[in-house]
Amino acid sequence: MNDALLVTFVKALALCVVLLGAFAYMTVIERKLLGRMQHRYGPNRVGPFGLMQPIADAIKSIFKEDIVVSASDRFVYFLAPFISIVFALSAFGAIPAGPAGSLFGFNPWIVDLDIGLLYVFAATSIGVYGIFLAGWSSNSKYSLLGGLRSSAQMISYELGLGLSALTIILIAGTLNLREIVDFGVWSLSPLLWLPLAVSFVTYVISSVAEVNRTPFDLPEAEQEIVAGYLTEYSSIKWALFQMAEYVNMMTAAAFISTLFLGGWRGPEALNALVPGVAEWPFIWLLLKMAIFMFLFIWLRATLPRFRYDQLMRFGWIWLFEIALFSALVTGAIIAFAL
Amino acid sequence: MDINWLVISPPLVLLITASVGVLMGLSFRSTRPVALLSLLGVLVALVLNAQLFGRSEPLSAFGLRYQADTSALAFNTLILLGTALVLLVSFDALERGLGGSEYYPLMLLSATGGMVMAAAGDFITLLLGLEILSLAVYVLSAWRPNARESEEAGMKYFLLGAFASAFLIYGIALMYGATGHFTYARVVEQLQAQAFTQTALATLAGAFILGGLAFKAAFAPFHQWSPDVYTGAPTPVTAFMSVVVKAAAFAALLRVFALVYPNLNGALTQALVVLVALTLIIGNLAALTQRSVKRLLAYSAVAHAGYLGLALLAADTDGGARAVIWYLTAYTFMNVGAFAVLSLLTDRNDRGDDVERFAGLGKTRPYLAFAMTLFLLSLAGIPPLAGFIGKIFVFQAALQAGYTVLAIIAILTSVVAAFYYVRLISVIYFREPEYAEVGSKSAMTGVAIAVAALATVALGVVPGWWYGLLGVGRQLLAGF
Amino acid sequence: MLSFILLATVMTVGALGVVTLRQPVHAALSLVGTLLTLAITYVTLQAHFLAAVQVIVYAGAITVLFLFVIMLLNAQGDERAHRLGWVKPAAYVTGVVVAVGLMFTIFASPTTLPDAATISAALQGGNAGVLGEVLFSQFVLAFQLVGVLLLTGIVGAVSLVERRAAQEDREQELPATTQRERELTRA
Repeated sequence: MNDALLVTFVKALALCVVLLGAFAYMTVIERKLLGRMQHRYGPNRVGPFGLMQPIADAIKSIFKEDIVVSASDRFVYFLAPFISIVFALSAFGAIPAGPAGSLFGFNPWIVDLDIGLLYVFAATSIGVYGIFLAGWSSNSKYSLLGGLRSSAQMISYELGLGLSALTIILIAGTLNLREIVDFGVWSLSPLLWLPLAVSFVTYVISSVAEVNRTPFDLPEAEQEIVAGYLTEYSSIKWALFQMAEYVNMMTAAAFISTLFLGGWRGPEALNALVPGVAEWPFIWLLLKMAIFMFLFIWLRATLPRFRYDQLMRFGWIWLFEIALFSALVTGAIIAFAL
Repeated sequence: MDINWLVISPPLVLLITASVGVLMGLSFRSTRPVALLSLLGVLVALVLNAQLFGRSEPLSAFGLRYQADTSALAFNTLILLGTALVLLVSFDALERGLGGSEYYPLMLLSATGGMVMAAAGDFITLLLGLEILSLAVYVLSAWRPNARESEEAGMKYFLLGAFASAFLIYGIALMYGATGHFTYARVVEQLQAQAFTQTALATLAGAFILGGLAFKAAFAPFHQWSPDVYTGAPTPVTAFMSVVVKAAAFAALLRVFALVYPNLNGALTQALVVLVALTLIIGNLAALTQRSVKRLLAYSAVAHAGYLGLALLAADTDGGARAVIWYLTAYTFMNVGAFAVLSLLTDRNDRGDDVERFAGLGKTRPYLAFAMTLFLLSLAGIPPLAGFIGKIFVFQAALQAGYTVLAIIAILTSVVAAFYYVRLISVIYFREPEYAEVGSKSAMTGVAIAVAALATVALGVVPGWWYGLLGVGRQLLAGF
Repeated sequence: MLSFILLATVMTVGALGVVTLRQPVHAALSLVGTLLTLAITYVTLQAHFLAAVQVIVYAGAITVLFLFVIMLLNAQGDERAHRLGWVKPAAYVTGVVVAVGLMFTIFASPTTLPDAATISAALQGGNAGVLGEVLFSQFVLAFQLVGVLLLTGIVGAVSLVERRAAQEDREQELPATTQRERELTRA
């Protein structure tokens, strides 16, 4: 095995560990934040400030009985959670977290692809299969409905997602995520700022729908279809789906930051205070991700759920059209060099 | 890349009209405004197409990927004329019960695909034109509301059509593998090159392409879909399928056979000989036993594909190519005419196309009966009508190219054909009416029938004008 | 070469699975596997853009729709005997004949491909820009025609569904209007 491959392998492993660790603590943070927003404490019993809670949860979910539905399609039933988590984890790999060579002399990303943006889209689009197959293989009507809902929703909102990203691609003229980060938006004609801002909004909304969070969490709407595709899953398989959901959230947050907010770069103005602070790896990306994670949680605490037809109508009539129009305007501005 | 707007304007006008028609259809309850708009679009396209005729400079766009040579222009004229006539026939039929103003934009889109197909200068454009043409027709076949057989027609046509497209795509891919090019010009260049070693692969590719196109042209044994689809589809759509789809398919076949196939293994020509013989025999014999007029006309359409195939075998000669176009012209008018008459006899939901519907038509509706007789006689090839002259051209071309046996089969089968056409005429005049109320009236359909009847007679009496026009200006099929 | 043989084997097994598996969902999954393997093959050929598009379009969208329809209809394996008994053997024979014919023609006159360096240079590392350049110059007509094709598909599909929906509405409206008329007459 040559060195480059080994380094990539180690980095990939590290990323998985970090993401899964982050998942564990995101659950606590989410529950604590939700608690605060609802005037209660949230978990605070296990360890100081409830910090040992995820470990307790992990032990619990591993040692619980793993119920296998006897009427299920066994192979697909086992396959589904793994599809979910594998593709959720692999999507993150293309996102750069700092300038070249800033990770102890290595590059702070796993793969550097010319088509990095498409790679992330591809990996997330395969992730749908996990939920979808989970819903079908459980052989339960609630699961099936949840699976169908989620796939319909993801396909619908992928349009808005793709078209919003198209604005960025048009402006930056590249699919490479590093080059998109390096692209300076301030050098652009101010005319382009408006479609960019519109795309940003549509992208964030589509992202929330894409990761199945409130107010778009119909696939697991407990009042209607128990827990959707998760209904028949228990123990570690259930935990894998939870992991996939949070990893997807983090990927979405990192991806939005990378596309629209300069990714790992910090504000240039701070360089005057501490030289080079804007180029520090990880810190800025994490900060931006944290903002979006907070936004996701905030939305969950604030907004009620959509009705299903509202969700579809919103996706196809509003989001899709607006994103399309903004891409069109961007194209026109660039083509006619306004 | 040269985008020659003038050259691509006829299909472009259709496309724009279709797009406007879709939007316009949303704001009207009646389908008539969209119908009139579509008719206008087709007429404008016809004028734009006509003014390209007879120019001496070669007309092409997108670097030979769209070639408006005389053959393409003639085929496009046929497609546009056929579409215009079908639009007239649909005008009242749609209001009577078929409904849905998207019908017209779909038809225009289909015609756009056909025009692109006729002018295609490479395999990719050919394929895409074919797909646009077909996709719209699949939908139109299923247009009759609450009619099982119509849904069946759409489904059957779609599935088999997708299968045929797969053949075509595979053939094109193999051809690309063998020659490394898509445009006919480059493919032929490669095939003629001394160093070319992939003859076997190219021949296999040619076989697949032939299979795919033979499906659209309804050559036996690829004709199985046509009787069911023709019967299930609404009558105007059947008329559209039988003329426009056929014209586009033969335009593609003509170009491929005249340019590419002479450079391939002779086995492919032999394969076409077998197909044509089968088509002539199966089409005509099967038509003998039909009790439904639509089915009869469907088999007759198969049989006519056989005659066209006969001319196709001589495609690399000027006479053969001209015979194909001329025959299709005659066929367009007489076939649309026959279906137009039929569309006036069916009931609201386009049901009822059995032979008995025609019984006593000579007494109840003499003009309609006369027109139908004219079309049937022309289809049978009785002088001095258009069908007769067309057959003469075709036989002449086939004999010159040395296909004597096939020509004899064709002549024998056309005697058989005359039998079933004349039998229908005898039903019209010598049987008592069996249905109290016979069909409906429509001025627009009347116009279509009159135009078709006049053209059928005129083409038969003065065949030279159109035949001569095909030879004006540049050569029929653009060389490279 | 080794990786290609491995991938080709997986692909062939997947493709056979698509046609032989009885359960439609399994067959569709087999198709997904085949398509993903094909995408990996593209990656080994340095065609990254093509690979990504392959995954997004085929595996991520089209096959999801296949599965969607299968699940919506709750389609089970087709266990009934075919009415036309000769179709199945005929299909097998045709498939084998075509495969053998293809293999024969390909092995009978093998072509030497340009060497890997030339291909890599032409692909420029699977850069999307190069592909776009070709697509929007040489194949611009084809590109536009694909747009027309999609438009046709959308108009066709929507009009078929809308017409049916409108019809059902009209049928449901009917009793309502009669009831309204009844009320009016009573008044």
